[in-house]
Amino acid sequence: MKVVILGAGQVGGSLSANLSSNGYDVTVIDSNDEKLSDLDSRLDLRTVSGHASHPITLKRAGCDSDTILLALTNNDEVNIVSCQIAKETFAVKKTICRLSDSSYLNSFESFQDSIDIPISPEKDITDHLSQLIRHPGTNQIETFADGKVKLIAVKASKKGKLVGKELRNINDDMPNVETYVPVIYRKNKPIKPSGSTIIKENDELYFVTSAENIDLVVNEVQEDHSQHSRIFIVGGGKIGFNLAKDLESSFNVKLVERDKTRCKFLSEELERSIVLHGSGSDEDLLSSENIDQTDVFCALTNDDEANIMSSFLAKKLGAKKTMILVNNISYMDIIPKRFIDNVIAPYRLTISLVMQDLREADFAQDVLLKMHSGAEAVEGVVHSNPFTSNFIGKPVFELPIPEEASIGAIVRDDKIMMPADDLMLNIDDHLIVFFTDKKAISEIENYFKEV
Amino acid sequence: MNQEKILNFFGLLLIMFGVSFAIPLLVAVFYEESLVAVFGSGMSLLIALGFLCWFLTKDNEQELSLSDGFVITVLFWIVLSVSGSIPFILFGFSVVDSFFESMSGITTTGATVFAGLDELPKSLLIYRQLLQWLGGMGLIVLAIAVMPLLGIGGGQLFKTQTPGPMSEQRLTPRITSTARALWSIYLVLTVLCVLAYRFAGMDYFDAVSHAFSTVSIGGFSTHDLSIGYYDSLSIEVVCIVFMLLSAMSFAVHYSAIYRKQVLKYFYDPELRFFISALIVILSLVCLSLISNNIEDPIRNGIFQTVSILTTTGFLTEEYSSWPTYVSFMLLVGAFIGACSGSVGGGIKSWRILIMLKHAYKQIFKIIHPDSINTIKLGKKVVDSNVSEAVWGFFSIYIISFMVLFLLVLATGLDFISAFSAVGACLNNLGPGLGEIASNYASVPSATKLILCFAMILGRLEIFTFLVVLMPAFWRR
Repeated sequence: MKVVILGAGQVGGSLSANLSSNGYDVTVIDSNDEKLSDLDSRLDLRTVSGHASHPITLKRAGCDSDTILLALTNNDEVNIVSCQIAKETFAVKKTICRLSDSSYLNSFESFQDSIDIPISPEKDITDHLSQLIRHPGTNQIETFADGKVKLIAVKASKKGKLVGKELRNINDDMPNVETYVPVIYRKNKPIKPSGSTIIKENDELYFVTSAENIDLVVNEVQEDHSQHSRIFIVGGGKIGFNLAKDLESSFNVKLVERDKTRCKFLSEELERSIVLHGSGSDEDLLSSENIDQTDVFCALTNDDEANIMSSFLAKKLGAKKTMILVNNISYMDIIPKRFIDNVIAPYRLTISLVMQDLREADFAQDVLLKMHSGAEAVEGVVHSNPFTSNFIGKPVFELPIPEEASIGAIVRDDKIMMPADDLMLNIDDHLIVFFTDKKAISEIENYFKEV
Repeated sequence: MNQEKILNFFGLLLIMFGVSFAIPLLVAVFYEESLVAVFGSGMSLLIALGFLCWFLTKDNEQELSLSDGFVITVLFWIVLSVSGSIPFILFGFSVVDSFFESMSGITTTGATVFAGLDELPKSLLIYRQLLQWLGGMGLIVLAIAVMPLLGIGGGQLFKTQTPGPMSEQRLTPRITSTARALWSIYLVLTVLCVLAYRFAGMDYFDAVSHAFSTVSIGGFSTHDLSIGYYDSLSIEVVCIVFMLLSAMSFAVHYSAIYRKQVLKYFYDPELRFFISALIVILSLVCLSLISNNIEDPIRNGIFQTVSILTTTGFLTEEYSSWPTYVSFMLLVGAFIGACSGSVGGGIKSWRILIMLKHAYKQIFKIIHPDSINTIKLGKKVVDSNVSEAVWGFFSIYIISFMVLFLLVLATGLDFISAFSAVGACLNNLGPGLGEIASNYASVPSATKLILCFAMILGRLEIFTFLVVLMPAFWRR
């Protein structure tokens, strides 16, 4: 499939790498030749130098009715205009447009004709971070079925109630909570659990559960958590600002930013957050602002190394939990886990979002769970087609699915059902399927194809 | 400086002022009083003078400039006070007393030199009330549409968006249409107030008279005992409601009525601050009165606190006979004053609010040395030069108070009377404590003139007046 990506920045760059390795024909447009030649030398793709919204550039990139256009520059207006031109002049198949400004997102109906799917990476990252902070103990929270179903990752700690016991005991403590564990990562290796699997310390468990039960489930495998209250954010860019704005009504937020003019803007826009001027790696600043009392330290600047070093420092000075953004995927595995509790690859979410829209089958959601190991979860809609006709009305448990996959939950008529022996497959069921290896996805796509 | 245009403006103003004499004139005719001649001659004099000014300058087409704004604002009160004193002089009062009474009316202060109001002719009484009402009418327009342009004491905060701290645009694009909108609110409030007073038991004459001085936050009454004369709970409730309504920013009223943003009443930061300060002082006053076994502590406490904090100055009780700390608390409370863009006096609530926020910012900065913070009024960012101007305004206000206080002491008043007289006049409040608790009849003429100066200084937010007094202003 042909994909044209506008913008070779962080979002566009990471996405083009991912798509080209997934077998798409990628063309990247940017006005910065250096960035382009860097991409060109690393990846198997075509680059076109020029202004992203000029029709001539789009033509040179070969836009036609088979193309999918991804407008991912950091300029909303350029993205909107290019989508309009691509749609009107080149009749491209689909346009996906990055819109950072919330006012554009709120009045999206004005762009409906030219933009098929709006995405907002900054907003996704902010939402993700905010959820992690609001639910202490979680390493990852993914949303399915319009927010009703959550897939959460939790690391088992020594004092957890379930640790040292068989997985089937989970319902003894909370009989009314429906939950399902599709996979357990033990020493970074996936295990497909059964009822008799014994939970060990440091296991990373994935739970599928409904949104309101997240904290209950977390308490099964970790000691009781009190809610976080003091949040320290380094970096007042779009993400840091939006996160502070989102959290300030329920948490004590301190926000550190290097640039004085930006500080002024932040202090004007934020109501209750304390805006500090300085660097996140300034020990004096951190200790005078009581870093040892901090529950969550978030390093959210654009600079990976600064993020890593400032969280080392914060951890040393006594911050309870650290969370950082890291763009360079190579760092992911080498970051010592005892210094940094949560490493978030910001554009993992964007890639997930785009991937679900590029697939031919009907995926309502597609989430990359781990950047490097290829774990992925999808929410697919079951359609009637020659393949599924054999299985409709049969027990979900007996569906032929690949070894690497497991069905986490079914959403039917807005109700969540956990896989049980007597659950039959219906048309329009939303299946939430968990993969330890994304290569297995193509095998299961048959369930979700529309014809 | 565009003298001709200013003269033209005041020509028209005098004509209109003269026309307004029709009201006391009609009252005089109706009650068959001897003052028909007084108002008749006053009216013809003003109209003739106004017409002369207007006629001589009617061909001037030049636009008014910002510095003309200062002159007009200052002259507005002086010209009206001087010409407003004419009927009093014709009636037989001394020149100083007449000027004091007229100034007190036009600046909506409500301090009176007349003892024995109940015996005065009704036409003269309604004329006093009318002065306050007209003063209030001029004030809302000058305060909302003109004075922000002059940027007095941080007033530039309201400049780009003339109406008030929270709305993002001017009320209307042109001053004339703004004025029209504000006047209609003022007029509607007055009419409602007349009906409410009538309904609460006043006769029509008193209802109209008191409505004039309530809506303008003036505080003149037609009785020596002020509102206390009626000893009626319903009249006091009506009075409290309309004093509060008039002490609110007319820009907020405008938004609520013309833009249907009723929630502004709840979200306007200045109004919230004003109401909270009112409630705090109110509770303190009531508690003190209860503990001192004063008669009717709640009823009198509430009425007197609202009346003095809004800088109206109606009385139901000799509040000067209350424990000294209670009456002084009320007097100091009057310094906070009403909201911006209202007809009330004082330093104005928003300035106090900004000063408190500024002080908090300083403390915060000591606790978090690296922090960057901004003072905000609601969602609006307050620039640091605005808070500087507000502090400057505050210090000048206090210095003026001190200087005037010393001057009044020098004329022979005792400490409490002098302190309260200057406080009451500078804040456009009205009645004071001690010797001047109900009227200013007994103070020397020199004191009266100093207090006249205090009234106009307070009404013009000090800076406007001081600017015009500077030689540099005229030389440029």
